[in-house]
Amino acid sequence: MITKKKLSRRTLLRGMGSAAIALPFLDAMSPAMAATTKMPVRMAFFYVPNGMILDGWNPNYEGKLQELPRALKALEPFRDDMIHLGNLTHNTGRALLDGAGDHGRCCGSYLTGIQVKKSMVEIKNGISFDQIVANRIGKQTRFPSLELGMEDARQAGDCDSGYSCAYTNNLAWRNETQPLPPILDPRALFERLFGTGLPMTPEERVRQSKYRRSILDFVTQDTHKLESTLGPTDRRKLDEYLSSIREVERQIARAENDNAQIDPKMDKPYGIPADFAEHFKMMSNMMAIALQADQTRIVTFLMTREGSSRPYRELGIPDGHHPLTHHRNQAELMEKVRMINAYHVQQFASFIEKLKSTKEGDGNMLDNSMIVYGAGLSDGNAHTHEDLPTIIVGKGGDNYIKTGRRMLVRRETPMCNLFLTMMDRMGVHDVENFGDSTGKLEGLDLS
Amino acid sequence: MEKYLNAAEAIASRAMGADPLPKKPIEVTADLKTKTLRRLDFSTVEASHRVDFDGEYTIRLGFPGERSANAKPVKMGFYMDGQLLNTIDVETKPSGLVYFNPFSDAEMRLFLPEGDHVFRAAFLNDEFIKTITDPKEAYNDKKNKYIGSITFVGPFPSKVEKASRKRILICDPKTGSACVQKIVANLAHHAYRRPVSSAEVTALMKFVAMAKAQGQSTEQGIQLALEAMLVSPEFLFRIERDPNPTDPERVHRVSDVELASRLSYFLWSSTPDDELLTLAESGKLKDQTILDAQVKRMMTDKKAGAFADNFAGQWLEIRNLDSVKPDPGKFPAWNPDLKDAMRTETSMFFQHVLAENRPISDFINAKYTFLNEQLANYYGIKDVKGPDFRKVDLTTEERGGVLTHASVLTVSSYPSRTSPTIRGKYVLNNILGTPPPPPPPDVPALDDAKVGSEVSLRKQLEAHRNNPVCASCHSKMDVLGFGLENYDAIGKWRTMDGKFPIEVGGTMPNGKSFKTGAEMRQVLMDSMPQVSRCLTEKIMTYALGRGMQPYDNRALDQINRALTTDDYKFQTLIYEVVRSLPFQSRRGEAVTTKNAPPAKPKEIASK
Repeated sequence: MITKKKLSRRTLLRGMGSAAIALPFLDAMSPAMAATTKMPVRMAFFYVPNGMILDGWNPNYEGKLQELPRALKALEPFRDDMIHLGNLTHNTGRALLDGAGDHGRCCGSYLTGIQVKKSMVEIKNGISFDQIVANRIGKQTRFPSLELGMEDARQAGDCDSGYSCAYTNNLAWRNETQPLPPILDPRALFERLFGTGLPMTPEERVRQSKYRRSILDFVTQDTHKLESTLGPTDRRKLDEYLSSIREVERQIARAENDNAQIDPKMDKPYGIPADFAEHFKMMSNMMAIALQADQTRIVTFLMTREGSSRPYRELGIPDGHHPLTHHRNQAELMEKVRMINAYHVQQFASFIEKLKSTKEGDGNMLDNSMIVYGAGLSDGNAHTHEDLPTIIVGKGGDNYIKTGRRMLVRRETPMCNLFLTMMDRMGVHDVENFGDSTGKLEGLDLS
Repeated sequence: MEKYLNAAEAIASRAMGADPLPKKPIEVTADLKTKTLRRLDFSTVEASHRVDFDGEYTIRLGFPGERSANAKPVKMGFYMDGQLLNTIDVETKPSGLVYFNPFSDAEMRLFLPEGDHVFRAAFLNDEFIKTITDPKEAYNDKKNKYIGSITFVGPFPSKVEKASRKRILICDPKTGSACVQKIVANLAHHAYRRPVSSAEVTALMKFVAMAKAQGQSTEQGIQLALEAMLVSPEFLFRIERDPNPTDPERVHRVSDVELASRLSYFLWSSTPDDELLTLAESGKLKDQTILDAQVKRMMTDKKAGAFADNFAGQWLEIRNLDSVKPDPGKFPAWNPDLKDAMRTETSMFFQHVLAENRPISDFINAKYTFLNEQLANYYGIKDVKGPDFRKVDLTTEERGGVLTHASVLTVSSYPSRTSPTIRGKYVLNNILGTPPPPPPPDVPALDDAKVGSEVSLRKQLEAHRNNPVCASCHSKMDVLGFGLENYDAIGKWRTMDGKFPIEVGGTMPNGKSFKTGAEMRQVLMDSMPQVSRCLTEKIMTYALGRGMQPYDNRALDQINRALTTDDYKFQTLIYEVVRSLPFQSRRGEAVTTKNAPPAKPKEIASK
C-alpha cells in the first residue's frame, strides 16, 4: 500500500470515471514498484446445491475445451480461461454408516473435508481450508475473508434428516463448532464494505477508530476479570468472544493504515430483491469491488443453501429445486433442472465477465484469480459424491493453471487434494495434509 | 463482534439522540417504474423502505390520473408495519392544472423510527373503485386516480423529546459530574442486571471524559459509555457464577439476582425491570410467595408478548412464515398482509391462553380464535369488520386450535401443495413429542404434476406406503396429516383437491379412528398427558436455553404431575417451570468434557 503516499485515492477516483474504484494496484499509481509489486492471488468458491444433471455439465472428451455442454454455455466466452475437472470426490460426504442426510453432509464437509457430526445441537465439523488461508494471509487485507449467500442463513433446526441447518447453510468454518454465516442482504454487505453509506470525514473516522479501540480495551479487561470464575464451557464462549475482539482490533488497525473509504459508485441498496438475477448482480458486483480493491482475497459464495427448495419462477418453474432433482429420470423434470443449472451458471458468467474486463498488470484480474464453481453432489437424484462438478476459472497468478481444457484425474481423487494445491497457490506452503487428502493435486500447471 | 459494535453504536445513538442528524435530508422515491412500489390491489400500494435515522420525514404521495368532474374526494390511509399513522383526503376530480398526464400529489410530515419498515398507502372506503374490474381501466389516467409513488424526504430534527432519552437522563447532566455519574451508574445497573461497584462506574466515566476531550458534548459522552456497556460481556452474556466452576457434583441455587435475569429473559426476552431487580437485590426473590407474585405480574404484563412471539414462534415454527414462498400461480390469495394476519392470529391466541390461564388443551381444540375482517373472510366467517383483531367465537367444526390456524398449516406445506407427511411429522414433533426417525436415503419425491390431476395425493402416498420400510413411519405421520387435508397449502378450507374429493378419515397406530378433522382433534385431546409432556419439555428447553437431558426427567415428571392435577392450566405450567430445580439451580462443569454443547448465540436483548 505504498501508493497512497503519492496520490490521494479519492482525488484519483474523481478523475477516473466509473471503471476505476479504489485501487492499490493501479499501474499509474506505483511506477516505482511496478517491477517488484506482485499482484495478489484471489480465491473464491461458488457453490450450487442439489447436484447437476450431468449430461449438461460433463464434456465427453478430455483435453482442449471445445464447444461447452449446455449448462456451461454462458461461459463460452471464457472457455480459454477455465479448466474443467473430472473425478474429484468427497468421500466424507458419503453416508459411511451415518444413514440419510447426503445434503447435510456434502455441504458441511465441502470445504472442511471432515465428516460432520449428525446432530442438530452438537455441531461438529472442522476448520475449512479457506479459513486456514485466511488465518495466514488475511492480515494483509481489511477482511480476512467474506462469506456471501443468496438464500437462508438459519443456523439452527433440522435441515436434512437430523443434520443441523448450520451444515447446509454455511461453507466457511472458523473452527469445529463455529460456522461463518453468509451475508444475504445487499444492504448489509454494502455497509460492511463501504460503511453506512453516509460519507464520514477523515477526522470522524479517526475519532470512531479511537473510540472503538478504547471500548475494546475496556471489554477485554472486563472479560479477563470474568474468566477466572467460570466453568470450561463458559470460558470457551469468552475465548471466542475475545478472539472476535482481537479480529475487530486488527480491522481497525488496517482501516487506520488505509484511511480512505472506497467509493462504491452505487447507491446503497434497500432490502433483498425478489428477483434472483438482480440479487446476484448486487452481491457479485460488490464482491468484485472488494476483490479488486484488495479488501479481501478470499470469498465463499453459497448460491442457494444445500437442499434448497427455491422455486425458479424467473424461468417459469414453480416447483422447488430440490424436489425437482429427485426426478426419477422423468424427462420433463430433468429438463427443468437443466434449466436451473444453466441459469445459475449464466449469473456466474456475468461475474466472471467483470473480472475479465478489469485490467491488472499486463493482463486482467481473472489471470490472478482462482474462481471455483462447483456442487457438493454430482447426481442429485441418486445423491452421489464422486466426480463432483468442478470448474476453476482464472489462471491463479503467474499463468499457473493451464486453462482451456478438460482434465480428468484418477477416479476417487479426494477434492481435498485440490484444496492443498490451492492453499499452496495462496501462499500457505507448509500444510501437508488436509481432510482426507492424499497429496497435492498435480497437473493443473501442465498443458 | 464487529456486528455487536455496529449495533451498540446505533442503539446508543438512537437511545440518546445526541448525535446531530445529517445536514442534508435525503430523498428516496418508491415507484412502479423501479418496482420499488408493489400493487396489492387497485386501491393499495406497498413499499419496503429503510429509515436510517429516527426523525421527522416529509412523505409525498403521487397520484397519477383523474376521475370525472363530479368525483368525490377519497380518504387515504398511510400505514407503517400494518399500523395506521395518518389519514388525509385526496381530491380525485380533475385538478384544472395542465399536465401532459393528469397528476396531483399530497404531503404529510410524520415522525418515523429507524429501521426496516413496510409502508402502505390505501384509498379507504372508495365506492368508485368497486365499479371497476378491469386493470386496464383502473390504471387508465383518464378514468381513474390511483396511488403511483411514495417519496420520503428527511430526516428533519423532531421537536418531541425521545422517551428513551428521558428515561436515561434521570437528572440534568448540566448540573455537574455528580449527576452524570448517577446516570452512568443507573444505566450500568440495568445493563448488567446486578449491583455495580464504584470502580466499574469510574471505568465507564472515562468514556465521558474521552468524548469531551474530543470536543463532544456530555450527552455524547454518556452515549459512548452506553455503547461500551452494550458490548461488554457483562451485558452480552448472562453470567452465572459457580462457587466451584469445575465440579459437576456440587449443585447450588443461583443467586436471586441471577434468578431475576433467568425469569425476565424467559418471560420477557429482556432485562429485569426495577421492581424485579430491587426484589432480587434485597434478597426477597427466593421467597416462594414473592416469586409467584412476580411470575403472575410478568405473565400478564404487555412484555409477555415477547414470550408469545419467541416461544410460539419456535414451538409452532411460526417464524418460518417469513421464509415460505407459496406459489403465486396456485395461491393468488397469498400476500404480505395475509401473512401478517396469520401470524397475529396465532400470537394473540397464545397470549390469550397464557393471560386468561386457559388449559393448554385449548391449543389442540378451542371454540374461539382471533380474527380481523381479512382473515375472517379468508376463513369464511361473517360479521367481523375492520382491520383490528378481536376474539371470535367459532360456531362450526371447520376451525379450532392451533393446528387449524392458517399460519401453522402454511409453514407445514410445500410451496405448491400440501404434504400430509410434513404435517404429520409436524404434529408428532411439536404436539405429541414423538418425532419420527429420518427417512432412508434416496427416497424419490412424489410427482407434483400428477397430484390432483391424474391421481389423488392420498392414492400416491398409499402406494408409497406399500413399501414396508416406508410404512413403519409413514403410517404414523400420514394419518395425522390426512386429518388436516381439508386445508390447502396456505390454510384455506377445501373439500376438493384438484378433481378429487378430500378424504380425511384414518386410524391411528393406537387403534383410534376418526372421520373428520374435528374428530382427529378429539383423538388428540384424548392424548393430553402426552401433549402436556411435550409442551413441558419445549418450554423447559426455552426457559433454560439448553436441551433436556435424562437427568431432567424427574423435574419434568414433577411439573407434569402438577399440571395434570390442575386441569392443564397454562399458568400452572409456567409457575412450575420457575419453581423447578433446573430453573433455580446450576452446577459446575468437569474440565475433561471435550464435546461440550456449542455456544448458543446470544442476541442483544431488546430494549
